[in-house]
Amino acid sequence: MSDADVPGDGFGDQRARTSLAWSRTALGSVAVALLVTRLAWLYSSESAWALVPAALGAVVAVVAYVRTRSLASSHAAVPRPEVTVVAGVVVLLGATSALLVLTR
Amino acid sequence: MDSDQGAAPQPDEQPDSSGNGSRTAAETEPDYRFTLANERTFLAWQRTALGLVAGGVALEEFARLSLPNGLTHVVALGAVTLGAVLAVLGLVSWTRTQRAMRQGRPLPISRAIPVLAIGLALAAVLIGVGLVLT
Repeated sequence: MSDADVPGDGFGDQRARTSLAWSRTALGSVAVALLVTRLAWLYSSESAWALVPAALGAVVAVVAYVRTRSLASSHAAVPRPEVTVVAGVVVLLGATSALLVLTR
Repeated sequence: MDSDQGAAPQPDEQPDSSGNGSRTAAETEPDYRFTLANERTFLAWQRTALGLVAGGVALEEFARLSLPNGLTHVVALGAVTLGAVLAVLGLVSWTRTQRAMRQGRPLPISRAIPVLAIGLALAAVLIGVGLVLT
């Protein structure tokens, strides 16, 4: 019996779980980005800068898509650029939110 | 078990496919399941961080009626800052764990866990005090 035949242990299952985790993270990022964008849009008198959080959310969605595609097509290479971008976006979303709280 | 499933660490005779270029000759590629589990743990930390950011913003926006204004401000700012810090700690933890697995060392304890626990406890105490005061 190969690893692929053991439920929960095979590469396909691990890959699916990881893809789902990326999808959940992308959904969460987009949701938070939209929340922050909405509030920033209201408080900044509809300045174009308020759209920055929405762009950040979109970046995570694209990264998640790229990673899901790479998981579907190959063995698990370590996704250093992807994880760095996601962490960076979350930090930027936090910084934007902190700015929003401070300037409100 | 298939021999190409990578259950056991293999000698590092192939070019580094990690994209980070930091693997040395003494390091071995860990089982892909551990690599993917580490990746999922990292993503879970990022989602926790996102939750804290969203919680902070929501608190600032919607809790003004039930908590003193200054306290709401402090807790909201703290939650958002904690979220940003956790995102960084999640990345650090992912990197350290990945390196430890490649070097065959014991996995390091994540610094994010005590930071999150203390931060949440502090926020809970502050909100509790605020609710008592109002």
